[in-house]
Order: sequence, then structure tokens, then C-alpha cells
Amino acid sequence: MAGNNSSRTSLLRPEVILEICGGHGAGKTELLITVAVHFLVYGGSGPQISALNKAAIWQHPSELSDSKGGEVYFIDLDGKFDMVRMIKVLKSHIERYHQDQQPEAELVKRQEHMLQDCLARFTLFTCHSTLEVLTVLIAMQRLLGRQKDSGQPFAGRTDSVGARMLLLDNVAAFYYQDRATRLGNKRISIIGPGEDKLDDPATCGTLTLQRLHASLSTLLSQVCIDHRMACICTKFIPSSSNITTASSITVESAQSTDSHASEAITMKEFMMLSWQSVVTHRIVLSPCHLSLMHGTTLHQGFIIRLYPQKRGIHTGLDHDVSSENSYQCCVEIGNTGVRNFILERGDVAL
Amino acid sequence: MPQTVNIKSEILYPEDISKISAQYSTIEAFLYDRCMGRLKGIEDAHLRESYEKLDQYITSTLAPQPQSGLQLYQQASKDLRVLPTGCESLDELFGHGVREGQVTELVGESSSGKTQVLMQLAAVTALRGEGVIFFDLTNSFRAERVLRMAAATSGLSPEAASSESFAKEVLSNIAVLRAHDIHHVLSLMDMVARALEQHHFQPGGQAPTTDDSSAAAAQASQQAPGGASITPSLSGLLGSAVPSLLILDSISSVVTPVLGGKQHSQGHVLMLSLSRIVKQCADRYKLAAVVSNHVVGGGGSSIWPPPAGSSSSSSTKPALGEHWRNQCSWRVQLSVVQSGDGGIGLRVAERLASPLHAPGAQAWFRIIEEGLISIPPPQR
Repeated sequence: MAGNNSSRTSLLRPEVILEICGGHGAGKTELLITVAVHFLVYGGSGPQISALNKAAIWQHPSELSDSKGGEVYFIDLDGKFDMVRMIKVLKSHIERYHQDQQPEAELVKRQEHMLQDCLARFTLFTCHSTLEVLTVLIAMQRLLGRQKDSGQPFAGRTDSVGARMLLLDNVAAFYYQDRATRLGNKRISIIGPGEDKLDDPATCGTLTLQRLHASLSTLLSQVCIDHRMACICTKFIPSSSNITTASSITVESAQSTDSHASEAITMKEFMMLSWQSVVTHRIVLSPCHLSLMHGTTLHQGFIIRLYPQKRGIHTGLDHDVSSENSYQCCVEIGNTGVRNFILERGDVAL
Repeated sequence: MPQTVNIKSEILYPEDISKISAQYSTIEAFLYDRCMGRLKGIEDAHLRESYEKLDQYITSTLAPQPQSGLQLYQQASKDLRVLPTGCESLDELFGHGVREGQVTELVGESSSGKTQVLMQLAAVTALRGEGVIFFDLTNSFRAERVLRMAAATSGLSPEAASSESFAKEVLSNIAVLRAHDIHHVLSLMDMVARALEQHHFQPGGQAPTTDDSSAAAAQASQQAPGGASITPSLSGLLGSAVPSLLILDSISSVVTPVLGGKQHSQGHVLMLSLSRIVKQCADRYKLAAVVSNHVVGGGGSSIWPPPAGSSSSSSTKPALGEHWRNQCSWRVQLSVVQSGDGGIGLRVAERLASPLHAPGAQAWFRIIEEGLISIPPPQR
């Protein structure tokens, strides 16, 4: 499954849970939107971007008219998802998809039709607590289970169901609130004959941080495996965090072409072990403090480091970033979303 | 404080509930076992059916409802609302106005104009007949100033502006809530959220008068003396003008005392809980939420132009730490302009963060007696 980045050409298989980590303004939500749009338009197959050329080379899929776009489920915990931005990126992707066709009246109608088609396959859930995320996953299980059983296509589609993707924005959004939950906290309850049991923490079942992360990871991986979805989560990492944890991962963000000093981002792993063990891959995003002149517009470059995590291995030890498994590339955020960009000496201007 | 809720549903009969409560007394206990895949007592077919019905209840009532892309496209292209600030250059920064459904942050040093911008925003919104909920946490709200700004915007003469009817028309759309510590703010926000929820379901404009809200109001007023007069204005407000703007001025004055230090270990929880409830209200009830914040760091005030030798991004930064920086969708920084030949009252606003634009755009405006007027950017 191709992404917009050749390093992830075969990355997004259904059993993958990819975690995108970064500080504020690093571009995590932006990257999610670009991935969502790309997946909606191209589905499981798509254009490969050659990383060797600065100008992206697009190899169109052989059957232009028959590409099965995928379904995207977006769970927004942060409130940062903006539909206006997504529509802008989607429209520019659709224009690029049609770029080699002659402009005519029919083309506009076809583009509009494609826009409606893509949007019909996009679903957004807005959650304001981790409990709501669990209920959303249960709702998705029922919805997708019904589709599988009855063989009914997704609403609005006439062809068979394409691939699916689940995007979760900021899995660490409610970390502090969840951590503060102590046993015995009463929230939504069933008031019934067992009312006296509310005071007993054993049957009360308060969702502490451990339990929340355990249930979230189990349910998430189950939903993804059952319904063949790839999952991408973002995680907000405060850069100077005073969360005490047992482990820390140091990422060197070296600027390759400039005299800026390389800064080390210390990323402390604060999610529970149950969550860490289901994540299979991780991307760390960080903003470059460089301004790039590309034509006449100024872009901001970001460095992505990708290193796969082996399941079941505790990341308590300092992760070795310089291993062969890690990969670095640079992306820019512009009007069309996130695009692969190769940093060359001549481009950099301050 | 989330409320304890009784399950009232046509799906779940009392015998289902009694069967389930024999195993689990809360939905959370049920959810945990269900997610881990080890529900108790599934050999019993009847119990399985009850679990299935509980699943259905969770999906239909507790889970947030899905919104399809088409629905969102419809809302974004037709119903998208922005609230103008009354100052054209500032509106440009925000993209024609402050976005509904999202949280905007105004950052700046003291006397950089944050409260002025907020009061102007409130005045312009109230003039249009929409409700404003103004949390005045620093005692800087001045009704006369708001009236003056509203008068200038509507083009009235000062005599007409000082008339009783005009004052009533504008100020009755603004509910001012005063609080001085984070706990009071949180309980007031709870009350506001409950009032909005009830108003949401009774769009005919009836003032909410159920036991819930009056009990909560009594509790809120007990918690702080002098807060007893708040509730009547809020329910009166919701009766007449649908609120579309929520202002918190300034959030740092109540959060900074609890962040860091040894006395409060839960400072982050309180700050993030406040942010969560603000976002929830903005999202659910289609309010534009604007909060103001201080700056820290730098070698002094955030003046413009930035002193030579320091990059403008590192001299001052918004207060409240790293966790807060991820909360708001929009962030605009206000700075005082060093008056050379610019005259007094000149301010510059810079867009630091936005979901739609790259950071860096600037807007210039001047604070005068009538309010804020936009100034074209000076020639360099």
C-alpha cells in the first residue's frame, strides 16, 4: 500500500499500527489528513513517488477510472481536525489525479462526482474522553460486523468494499485526566439492584490508566485484525516533559545541510506497556528551523525518522536510532498537504 | 463533574438490567471485560442476549455519533460561521473572523490589547443579537467600554449610544461570569454546559428551570460569595439570544497558580480538564471559543520590532507550558509597537498557529477611544 512517501511503500499492511509522535506544530494532524485524502482517492494502490527525483514522478495506476478508493474512519480526540483543510487537500489531490486529461465541461462534473464519492467513504467521530473512544470502537465493531455479515456495501457505494483505514488523532489527549482517576471514582453507572456494590472497587470496575490503555489496545488491535484495517495514531509529546517514566528514547534531529546545531529530542515513553506492545511502527516528526525557498513560496521542512518496533519487546532500553532500520526523510507542508521533499544544498535560505 | 446517569432505554428491559447487574454494577466494569474479551457468564444464552442489548445501547446512546464526510462538507460549505472582530486587519488573520466550533488563543504581554480585542469581539457579536458568555477572570471587563465600541461599530452618535434602550439591547446579550480560581471556573463551565445542553433540546427559547440546573446553581453560588447573581442572567440570556461566543479572559490567571510547584500535583489535570470542557462546548453547541493567555520568557516585554540579534520565535512564548500549546487550534500573538512616529496605541498581531495557514502573517491595528481600527502595514 503506497503512501505519499516511498519509504512507506509497503508499510501500511492491515496488521500495522503506526504511531506518529511529535510536539506541537510538528504536523501530525496534517500528515493524517494527507494520508486520509490519499487513501480516499487511490485506495490500496496508488502512485509511487520516486524518492530519487526532486520532482515527483507519478505512475498512474493502469485503470484510471476503476480505482477503488478506500474507506477512512477518523477518530478525533484533540479537536484539531478541520474539515475545511481536508476539503482543500482533497480537491487538490483530485485535480492532480485528473491532471493529464483535457479540461472540458465534463471534467469539472467528474471531479465533483469524485469529491462526493470520496467524502461518502469518510467518517468522523469526535470523542471527548477515552471512554468515548472505547464506545466508538464497539460501535465500529457492530457496524463493520453487520457489513461483513450481510455483504452489503458501505452506504453510498455500488461496487465492492475497498480497503479500510482507521486514523486516531492524539492517543495521548486525555493522558493526564486518565492518570488522575483513582479507584472508586464513580461515573456512568447502572442503578439497579446492585446499587450497594458501587462502593466496592472490585466490582465497580473503575477504569484506571492501566485498564484504559489495556482495553484500548486490545480492542483496537482486535478491530483492526478482524476487519483488515491499518491503523495510524498520532501522539503528542511535550518536548520538555516532566512525566516520570522508566524509559526514554533519544532522537537526534540533525540538520544535514546547515550550520544549525543538531538538537536532541528526548522522547519519554509515557503510554502504558499494553499500548506500547501493540504499536508496530513509529514515526517521529519534528519541525525544521529552516526556511526553504522553493520557487517563490516558503515551505517548512520536517524530518521524519522511521524505525519499526518489534512487537513484544519492551522499549525500556534506549532505542538505537542509528540502526539500519531507521529511515529519514524530509517533507514539506503546503497547499496540497504533506509532500515528500529532498533537501538539497541549493535550496536552503535563511 | 460528570453526572451519574440512569439508563432509560427501550432496548434494555428491567430484567436485562437485573441480569447484568448481577455480574457488573457499572458500565465501565462491563466495558473493561468486554474489551479484554472475557465477559463473565457467557454460557448463559439469556445473559448473552442481555449483553448484546447493552452493546446496542452503548452504540446508540453513549457513543458519539458518526458524521459522514458528505454531512461535514455540507456544514463546511453552507453553515460555516465566522465571527468578525470589528477590525478588518485582525479579521484577515483569522480568515474573515473567529471560527465557530474551534478554540482560538490570544497571547500577549500585559497591556498588549488582549482584553480590548475580546471586548470588541463581544460588542460586535452582541450587536448582531447573538449571545456572548464572557468569563471575566481578571476583573477587566468594562461595560461602558463595550457600549462605546458597540456604538462606534453601529455608527451611532455618543448621545444615542448612552441611551438606556441601546445599553439594554447590547448588554443583555452578554453574560459576564466572574471567578478567581480554577475550581470555580470549572464548576461554572459545568453549569454553562448543562444550561446549553438543555437549551439545545428546547430551541423554543424557554429558560431552563429544571431541578438540575437550579440545584447546580445553588451549589455554584455557595462555593463563592458574590456568585449568586450569575445564574439568572445566564438563563435569561439563553432565553433570548442563542450564544455563539465563549470568552475566557484570561485563562492564565487561574491556571498559573496551580501549575508547577509543590503545592499542586494536579495542575496539569485541572488545566486540561478546563480545556476539554471548553472544546466540548465549542464543538457541541457551535460556539466560537476565545481564550487569552500571557507570555513568558524573553528579555522583557514582547515589543515590536524584536530586538536585533534575537530570532522572533524564541524571545517570548505563550505561558502555561508545553501541554497547553497543543490545545488551541488558532493562536495569535499581540505585541506593543515601539512608538516612534507611529503614535500611541499601535499594536501588531502575528498569527502563530492555524489549521489552514502557515504561521507568520501579521496585522496592524490601533486602539483608540472608539475601539480598534485597522492600520495598513507600515512601509519598511
